[in-house]
This record gives sequence, C-alpha cells and structure tokens, in this order.
Amino acid sequence: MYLNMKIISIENELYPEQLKHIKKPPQTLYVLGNEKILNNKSLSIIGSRNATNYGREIARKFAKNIAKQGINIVSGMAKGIDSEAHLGAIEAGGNTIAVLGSGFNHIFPDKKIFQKILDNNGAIITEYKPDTEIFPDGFRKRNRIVAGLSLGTFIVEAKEKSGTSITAEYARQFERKIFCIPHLIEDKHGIGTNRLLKRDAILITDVFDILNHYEISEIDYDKENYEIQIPKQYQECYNLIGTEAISANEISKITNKSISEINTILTMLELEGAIKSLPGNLFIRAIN
Amino acid sequence: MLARRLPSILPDLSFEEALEITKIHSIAGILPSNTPIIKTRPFRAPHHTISGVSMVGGGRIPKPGEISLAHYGVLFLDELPEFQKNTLEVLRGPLEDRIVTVSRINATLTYPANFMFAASMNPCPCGYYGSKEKECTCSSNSITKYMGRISGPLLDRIDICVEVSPVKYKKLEQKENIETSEEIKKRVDKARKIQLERYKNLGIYSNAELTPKLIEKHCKLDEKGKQILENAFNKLKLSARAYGRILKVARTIADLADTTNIDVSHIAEAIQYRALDRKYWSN
Repeated sequence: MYLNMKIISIENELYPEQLKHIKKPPQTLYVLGNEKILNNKSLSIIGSRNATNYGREIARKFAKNIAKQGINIVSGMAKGIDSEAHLGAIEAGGNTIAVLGSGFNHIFPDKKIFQKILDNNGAIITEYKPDTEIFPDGFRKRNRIVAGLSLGTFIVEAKEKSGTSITAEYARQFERKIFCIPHLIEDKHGIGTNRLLKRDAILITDVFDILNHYEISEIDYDKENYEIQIPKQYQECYNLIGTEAISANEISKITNKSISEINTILTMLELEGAIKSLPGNLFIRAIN
Repeated sequence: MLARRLPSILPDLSFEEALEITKIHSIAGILPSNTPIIKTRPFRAPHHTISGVSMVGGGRIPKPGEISLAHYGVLFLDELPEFQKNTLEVLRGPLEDRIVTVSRINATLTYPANFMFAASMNPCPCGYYGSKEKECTCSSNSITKYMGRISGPLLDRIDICVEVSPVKYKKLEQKENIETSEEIKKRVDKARKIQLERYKNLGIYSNAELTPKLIEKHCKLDEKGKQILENAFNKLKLSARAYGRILKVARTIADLADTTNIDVSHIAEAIQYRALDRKYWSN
C-alpha cells in the first residue's frame, strides 16, 4: 500500500536513541514520512479524546510554542487533545510524530489528520506490520512508545479512568518527566491530572516551565506579538470575557447594551484575535 | 415557539404580493371558499416526514409544493436534521433562484418560490452540547454525524444563525420588560418602506432579492468596512456566497437603524450572524 514506507531496525542509526533505553524496545519500527526527525529532542503531549475547550486550547498553544523551539511534538493521533497537539506543531511549522497502535493499513481514527501530518513533513510510526488490525492492547503498547520517544510527557487532561495514566506509568518507569497543568478540583476532566500532580508530576503554567527542563538557553518567543491592543470602546466587554465562558446574552445584560451592539463588539474582538467563540453562544478569552 | 411568532412581525403585504399568493393557493386547490384574497403572509411548517416532491411540487400535472405555498411568507422547518437529506437538498436551487421548475411528462411548470426560510435544531442528539448547565453525553462522532445531515451548501444559504441558551426556571416566571411584536413590526415596516422606495423601479421588493450588480450599487462600504470584511474573510474562511449575503444582511441592519450608509458596526453585526458554521461544522 505505502511504497515509501521505511522499516528501521533497532541497529539502524536512524532508530531513535531515546527509545533504545526503555524496557522491551520495539525491534523494528515502520515509518511513514520524515524519518530524519526521529532522533530530535521530543516532548509528548497527550490527553483525553473527549476534551474540554480549555484543554484543546492549552494543547494547541503549548504544542505551537514548543515546536517552534525545534522540539518534536509526539502524540497518539487520537481525537481531542492528541489531534490538537499535532495540529499545533504543524501550525508552528515544527515537527510532529504520531505513534499508531495498529498497522498502516488500519488507521484509526481517521485519515484526515494522518494525511496532514505527512503533508507537513511529520512522521508516523508504528511497531506493527501494515496488516495488523486495531486491537485494544495495541493502544496500551503504543503509549509505551509515546512515552519512550520523549524526554518528557505533558498530560493536558485526564479523567479518573484514562488511557493517559498508562502513558504516565510508562514515563515514570522510563524515568522521564511528567508535566501537568492544574485543574479545578471539582472538574472531572482534571481528576487524573490532579492526581498525577499530587504524586510526582511537575506542575506547569507556561511553556517556559517545560523548556527549562530541555536546557534550551536561547528562546525565540516574542512575547511582544502576543500583547493585543484592545480599543477603549471594547474594553468593558473584553473585561467580562475571561477563561470561563460567558454568553453574549449575559454580556448584554451586564453592560446594559443591546444584543446587536454586543454582537458587533464580539465580532471585532474575535477578528482581533482577542477572544474565541464556542458552541452555545459562549465566548472566552483567547490564549496565546 | 419563537418561530411561530415570526408571522406577527412580518411586514404588510402589498396588493401585488397578495394577488400572487392567492393565485398559488387557488391553483393548489386550498383557497378557502370564503376567502376571495389572502391578506396575510403564509406561514408553512411541514412535518419532518415530508417528501422531496411535496416540498418542491409535483404530480402528473405538477401542483405547487410547500416552498411555493410559502411564497412571500415563511417556510419553517422544525428539527432540521430530522428531515430526509434529499428533502433538504432540493431547497438549494429555489433558495438561490426564488423560483422552482418542476418537469413531468405532461407538463413543465415554473412556480414562484420567494420565501423566508427559517429552521430550528438542537446542537447535538442529546441537546446539551455547549450547555453550561448540563454536560453533553454525545460522542464527537455522533455530533459530527448529526450536524453532517445539513450540508455545507445549504448552510451557506442561511444568512442569520443565532444560538439560544436554555431558559432558566426563574426567567419563565418573571415578567421582563421586552419589546412586543407590535413594536418590532413597526420597525420592520419602516425598514421595508425604505427598501420599497429604494427599489421601486427595479421590480424587486427587498434587500434579499438584490442581484450581484445591484449589491455593488446599493451596499457600498467605506474603507474601514471593507477592511473588516476582508479581515473576516481571511480569518473566518467565508465562502464567496457568504460575501454577498453578509452585505445584504448588513444593508438590512442599516435600514432597520434608518441610516443611508452601511457602517462598520452593521457589517460586524452581520458577520456575527455567520458564526455558527465555523463552530459546529468546522471539524
């Protein structure tokens, strides 16, 4: 099926060095796309499929800014957080690696992102022969490669029971770092990550918290660009929109302005890139 | 409930419009014997089990369908995704051309179909996607499937999309000071009068009927408005069809505000009404 597929054995110099140090490394890797990036420094960004908007935003933002520093973003190509991580890296023009739990003839969940990664100079790897079908244990073993490829694993969101805890367990075993962002203690999307934080994960609140662990001295991260100028007449409205979503109706009620006026302001703010609109007529502040 | 109130704010019929509506109802054989002329705008709300043929018209000698019976009035489809796919797709042509041509072996007839298309739907099968009150239990696959029943081209032809949040119990009880239908109708009538005056020699009645050439003439933007629209196009990835439609909506907002020129706030508001597709149909 895939004429340009490469088979890299553990003796090959292209085989990722990091992966050799784990327990039971895969003897052969099947690789599509850019095999030269496999030995670059990598960070994996993973999390729930059924993620919150907040989690998606964070995943994309971190992937973007970390990929910009020349670090590979590794993930499992699943829906939700995984996809956002891949897309963030692609957006930044960086490198991304997807690890599959099945053969290349049985891609899960869809081909869209698969193609996008290949088109953007990324790599897709698996330890399974192309004809291997999807099987539950494949995902668990896939997580071992995700954790093994990376210097650290950033878990954005995990519910109480989650596949990501398996990846965390592997990362711990391989003595790699685990990064998490804090969630509200009542938020069920963050029970898993909060538990990891309590145990041994490193709490991070911005990109630098991760980059510091990668010993990157010179960081080209122009903060200037992210300062958005909000015109005075929109300021009142903008101040109401925080990281907690608020509906246009509520804004209209609080500010005592008509809904059409609010709609105008919201469009302007959205075009400026200052806010984002969400399903349910809700708006949140954009995170840059 | 909201949509059922729509006829109460529609502008009055002109004599020519009333004649046309009456003719169609008469041909369809549903003009009541005690009604010589129909004086109110029709409001058609067929059930979602309707077939494509009864939507556009048909029969051995084609009779007008729902879209023609809604001529100069409203066609309202409740629970839009529940309609059969082909029933919805047949609307695409008439929504653009405002006429429908039905061909059968015995006759080929063209009926007018200049209606306002209104529809309502849930954001997902369980109805709670995006709600702050209750968490949605649908998988992302089932949401995509549900939304996928409405095609992009059909969505593109809907000018104004508004999301309504669930009403809380407290609000159901309390009586708020809100605009009544009569008050709104006054504004609508005024805006319609402006449009009738503006288009009196052109054979059209409203902004919706503007052709691309007329849009150029009547929906002029200032520099700043142009800039915003261009910005919106690049950022929000709007289609070419959306361009004309946003201008028409902006023209209408300007008419409602009784201003001669479309200004920045009108165009920005019109863009906001296009917000739905990129939120729900983007993935």
